[in-house]
Amino acid sequence: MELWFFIAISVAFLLLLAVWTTRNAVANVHFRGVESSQSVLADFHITLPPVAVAKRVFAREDWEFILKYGRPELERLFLYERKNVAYSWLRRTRSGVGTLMRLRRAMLRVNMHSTLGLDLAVFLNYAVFVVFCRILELGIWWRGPFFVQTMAGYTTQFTQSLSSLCCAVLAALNNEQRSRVQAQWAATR
Amino acid sequence: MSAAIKRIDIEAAINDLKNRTLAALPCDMSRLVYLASIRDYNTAQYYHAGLAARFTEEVASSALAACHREIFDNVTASSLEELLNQITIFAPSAGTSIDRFVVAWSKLEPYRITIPDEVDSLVAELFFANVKTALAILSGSTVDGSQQCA
Repeated sequence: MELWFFIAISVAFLLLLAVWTTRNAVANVHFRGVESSQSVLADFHITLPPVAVAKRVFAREDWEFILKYGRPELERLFLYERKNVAYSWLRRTRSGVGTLMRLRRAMLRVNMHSTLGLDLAVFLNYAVFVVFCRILELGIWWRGPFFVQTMAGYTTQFTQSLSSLCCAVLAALNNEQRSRVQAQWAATR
Repeated sequence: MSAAIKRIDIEAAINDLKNRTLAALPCDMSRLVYLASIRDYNTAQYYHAGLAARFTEEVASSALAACHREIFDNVTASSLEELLNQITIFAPSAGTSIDRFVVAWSKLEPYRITIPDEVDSLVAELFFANVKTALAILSGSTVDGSQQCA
């Protein structure tokens, strides 16, 4: 029993180490040559939540301002309203990333060249993203969005990195390859 | 009209609008309400006689739409405290007391039609939430999240 426990702890530690060492592998894929990733993704009907919204929603500044009034009913109203926006952001982010992962699979089926290291990095970071989203959901419900700011920052960073990765690949495709990706994408929707 | 010429005209119209009309308004909240008020609710077209006379109606409408989006972005990027200050400045300039303004805005929610066209739904949701909270601060009374202020 103890052996299995230590094996489980070791595997979890190795996974965390793998995620830590590959955390920048996805982020380091730079997006060049196209003005805006959103316009590229719009061709595939993918819209991600604006980064500025996450910065505002999860910032403590507004919460600390509300606390100065010392009015519990105001704090309740503010938390209720801000939590709803945070949940909406989380739903959009989860949906957007899920769609990006499906787009990436569609590109891989059209024989997009990728490296094992990059695939592993994307997979591991996506796994952490999924877990973080669940924790975020609980954290928002329990304390409010201001106490899960760091985790929200990670999910935003991963979303932007994955978006940039997909856009970089799309920008590098020729017209024929891009048409095949769009056909593959249309077939999976 | 070529695209390049039209873009230059729109930039000129934007500068004209900012320097003449919008500069006279006390804050971004005032400008937001003003720009929403000169928009036709049925067609989403903006009408400004002076600007249309100096440029064309098409250019004027495009410039007004661009300014509306820019100002809305500024308002939504601001903190709750800054938004509260802006509403506090705007209310008297609208010719009413703060109390009456808060009651009217809490009941009718006219801020919902001040947003520009094609705004991200999440940004709009954040804006509405912040304005609702700011009104609750000003009212000094309880507004429960599940019911409207009477």
